[in-house]
Parts: sequence; structure tokens; C-alpha cells
Amino acid sequence: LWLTAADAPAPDSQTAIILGVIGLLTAVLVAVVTGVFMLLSARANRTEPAPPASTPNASADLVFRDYVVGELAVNRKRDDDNDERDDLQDHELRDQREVLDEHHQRLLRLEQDRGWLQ
Amino acid sequence: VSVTHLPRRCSGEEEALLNLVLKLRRLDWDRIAVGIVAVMHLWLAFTLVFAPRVQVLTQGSRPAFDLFPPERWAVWLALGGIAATALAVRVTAVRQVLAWFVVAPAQTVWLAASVLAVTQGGGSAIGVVLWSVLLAFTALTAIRLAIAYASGKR
Repeated sequence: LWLTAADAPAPDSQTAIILGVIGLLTAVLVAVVTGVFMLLSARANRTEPAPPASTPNASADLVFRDYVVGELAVNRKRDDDNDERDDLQDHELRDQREVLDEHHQRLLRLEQDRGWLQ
Repeated sequence: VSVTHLPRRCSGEEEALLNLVLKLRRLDWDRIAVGIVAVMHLWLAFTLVFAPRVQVLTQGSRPAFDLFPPERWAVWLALGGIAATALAVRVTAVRQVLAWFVVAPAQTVWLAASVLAVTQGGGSAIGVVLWSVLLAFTALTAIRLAIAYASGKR
């Protein structure tokens, strides 16, 4: 069943040239498409320049700033609470003074009445 | 008042279907496609080497063998299969370029040879269809892989 060299037909050079050109054109096409994708890939992977690295001093300053801001907020809240407490105490003190005044007035009236009686 | 919506309880069939879909979505279909291309080329090389000459040298394949003898075609297709296998194992830019530089010209030459044979009155019209489908499948796979690679998804 195997064809001998004499049985095999002679190669057609024109066909070989056509197929060779087609193969080369395909290789060129692959090269062009590869170039396009490399270009797109390079553009997609382009990133912004990195920001300057933060120094240890700047980091410590930021920590201190956060600490100061936090302490300030806590103290403001405490001030507000103290003001409310002062208002309440003033109000209570005013009420007690009024009660005391009433008692004092009543005492004076009692003394006057007793003077009248005596 | 807080209102909580509890997920609806799936039936056994629904859960099995969802698990199957999840597994299919996890598969890397691009690499599987490259693997199919690799197997095709290795199989073609094996056939060219080990099949009887009378079954290899047909009217449809004669134009391709006018360009190169079967042994050289077997080497070329084996190289394409090996390059595609390497690409399926790990996707890199160099492996993509190498694989498609070997595979694409071989496929177009074989498709053109089939077309020439058919236009010259011999050959196999089915062969033209099969080579066209293989070339389209390879091109689609290459473009999908290149887009995924260029966009950074891979």
C-alpha cells in the first residue's frame, strides 16, 4: 500500500509558492496582532507615579495631631456637661434660697406677732 | 423596628444545579480551549508519522505536501502542539506569541491546501469545513486569551 518515490507525483511548485506566501502572510498577521496587543497591554498597565514616601516624622506628627484633636473633642464635651451641671445647681440653689426666704419671712412674721402678743 | 429578609430555602435540585453552575464558572475555559488546540495538533502529527502513506497522501493533502513532506509537517504540527500545551499550562506573553506563530500559519496553509485541492477538482469539501472550523476556533481562543491578558485579568 505504500507509495514508492516513482509512484508519487512531482511536487507542484506553483502550489507550493502560493501556500508558502499564505503561511508567511499569516505569520505577518500574527506579528501585527501581537504588536497591537503589546501596545494595548503597555497602555493598560501604565500607572500614575507613586506618591512621595511618608517620613517617620510626618507619621508621628499625624499621630500627635489625631491625639490632640481627640483630646480637644473630649474636653469640649466635658465642658458642655459641666455647664449643664452648673445650670442645674444654680437652679436648685435659687429654689432653696427662695424657700429659705419664705421661712425667714414667716419667722419674722411670727416674731412680730409674738411682739404684739407680748 | 428592623425587618430582616431571610433567604428562601432552596430545594435539593436547585442547590445541585447552583453547585454545578458554580463549578462550571470556576473552570478556565480559555485554557481548556488552548488544550483542545494542542491535542488536535499533536494528534495530527501522530497521524502523519504513523498512518500509512497511502492514507496520508490524498488528493486533498497533496498541495500541502507540495510545500513540505509529511515528516516536516509532522514536526511542525508537533511543535505547535507542544507550544499550545505549554500555553495551556501557563499563560504568558512569550508562550502566546510562540504558540500562535507556529499554530496559525500551519492551519492557514492546510486550509488553503484543502481549498486549492477542491478548486482543482479533487480533495475533500468536508476537509475545508473542518480546517475552517479549527482555524476559527483557534483564532477565537487566541483573541480571547490575548484580551484577557492585555486587560490584566490573567
